[in-house]
Amino acid sequence: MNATEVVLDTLASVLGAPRKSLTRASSADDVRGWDSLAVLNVALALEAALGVTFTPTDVADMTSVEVILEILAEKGIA
Amino acid sequence: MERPAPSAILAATVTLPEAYDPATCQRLAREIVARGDARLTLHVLASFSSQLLAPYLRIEADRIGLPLEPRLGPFMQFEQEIEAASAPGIRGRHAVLVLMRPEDVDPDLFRYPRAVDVAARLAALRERLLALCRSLRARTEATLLVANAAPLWRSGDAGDPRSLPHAVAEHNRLLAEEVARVTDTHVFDWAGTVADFGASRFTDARLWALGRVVCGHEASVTVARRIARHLGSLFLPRIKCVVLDLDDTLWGGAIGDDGLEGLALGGDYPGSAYKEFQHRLKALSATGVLLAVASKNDEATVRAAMSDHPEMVLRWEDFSAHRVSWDPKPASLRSIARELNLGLESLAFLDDNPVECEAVRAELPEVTVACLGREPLELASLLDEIPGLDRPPPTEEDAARVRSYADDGKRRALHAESPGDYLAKLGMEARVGLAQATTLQRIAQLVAKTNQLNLTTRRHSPERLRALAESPDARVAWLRLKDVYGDLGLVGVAVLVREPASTWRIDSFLLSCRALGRTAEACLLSYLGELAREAGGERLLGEYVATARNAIARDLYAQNGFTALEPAGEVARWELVLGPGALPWSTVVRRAP
Repeated sequence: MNATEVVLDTLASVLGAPRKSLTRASSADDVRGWDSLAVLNVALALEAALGVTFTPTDVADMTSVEVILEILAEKGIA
Repeated sequence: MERPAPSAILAATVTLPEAYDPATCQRLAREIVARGDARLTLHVLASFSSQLLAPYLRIEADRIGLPLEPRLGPFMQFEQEIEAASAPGIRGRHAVLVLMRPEDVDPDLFRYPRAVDVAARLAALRERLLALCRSLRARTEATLLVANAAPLWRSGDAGDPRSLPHAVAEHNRLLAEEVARVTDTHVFDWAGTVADFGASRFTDARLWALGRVVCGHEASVTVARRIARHLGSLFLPRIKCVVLDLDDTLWGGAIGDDGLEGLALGGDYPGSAYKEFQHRLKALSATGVLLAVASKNDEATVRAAMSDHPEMVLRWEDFSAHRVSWDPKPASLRSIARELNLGLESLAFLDDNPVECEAVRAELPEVTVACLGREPLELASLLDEIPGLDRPPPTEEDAARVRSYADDGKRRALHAESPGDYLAKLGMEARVGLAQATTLQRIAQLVAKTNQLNLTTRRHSPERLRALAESPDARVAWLRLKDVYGDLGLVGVAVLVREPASTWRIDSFLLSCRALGRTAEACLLSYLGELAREAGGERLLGEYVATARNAIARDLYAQNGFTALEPAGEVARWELVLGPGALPWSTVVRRAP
């Protein structure tokens, strides 16, 4: 499974959003429940799923799928 | 939706719990929310952001059969949130947990431990916590839990009274003492929870920096598990008797095949694990939990093994009931419950044979079943996983109870000789009185757990009972009973409430199952009549609310001279005019002054 799919699956299960409603273009502005507290859960779930470790700055920046994918790419996950 | 039968929960619980990852956690929690069968509301007032604990609390409480609804207040809003946690209607099935970490409310204490008076700062914190408790106590009947402090910081010589570790240990000791004086208020062991998980990896500094969240996924599981467990010990039916298989459970091997010399018990592993398990059971029995045997074996062989094996910790007499026969286990369990006057929901059954475990689960879903795995090493931790075995500290009555059940055997022997005047021969003596501070704890226990001879099964909280005891318009009465074989202790409770028109209503009336069939109910009723008359009452109003367990109580008022009235909804009602000769004291029980 590629990084995009893992991210979208994780967002769906952590935020309780329908998987079909999420795309690479989704962001905190258009996904219900994607707030500063929920993003901590998203980060923890991605760490568990992908075996990465985020810095606090990484987590604070996670406001869209695109950004999450960029952060993961920097850590060598695509 | 109905709460799942205990067996359905146990399939998932009385094995060691399974792990789940963060994403699964959110999904599981949503499934529990969708079921909507919460039985308890937990209000959390914390000095950190506790919102992320919600799914963990739902899952861990559900695992032990106590689905709950968490209400997590905003952080640091203690005094403000008291209003929300004590809104009208919050009583009974509500609990409030106060998680006030010293490092959050007084950070300088840990920034400059050498510059400030640590003991004084902690005393101030305790003062604030107790004020919160008293304020909550005055407004709500919810059960209160207060977290103690975890010594997360690592500095100083613990022997130095000015050091943080020393000061925090002392703080926790004083907190426990002071909290014990507030009714129905308990200390949640936050210090133990953090230590259990491992203090050095408990907090996640990133989460704290980003959202004042204390800990990550794994630590949250531990925190929620410990909170659920504490709530379980307060709200779940208590296990009153552990029924044990023998072969490969109490000892390794089969006594019938391997003989006394062939058993694994004591010495090297696995014998050492079985012996340790017996010690654990012995300790459990000292807290008032009864032990019983259900084994497919020959009785003489088992008796010989228990008396002759040098490493045996538990002897025949340590068990309050024995079913050593080739009967099916469900039949043995039923018969043990009957002999000990216990409901099936107060039994836990431990066996190594999955077929026996399944048979009991299928036939007796009320019984908690713990099926042992292959490794005897797991025996002790399995015992830890049984919800309902964590009892509040034993009262004096508990210690006497184990002896009392043993005395029951002698009482039955007497019964067999001369059923006619058995009751007269018991030489019973009853004392009655009004609830006071010293008796309220036992009264609350009985109100919380009596199922059979309980006319209305109203589970008044300890706090409510204290309020009733102090009200001029109510009476909380008790009855103690003893006989030639021993003291049965405080076994009867009744609550009278003043109604209009010189009427006193019997709001609650219950007798412990130990005191059934002894005419003690006549004594307690007679006393209620006296109390009502002393207060100018002319009539008693009796109520009966049917439950699955209290059919035995249905005719109590009819048998004692009451006249049936029209029922009010689900409440059957009876009336008695307090004329001369009404409600006589029992003829076979002497009244002690």
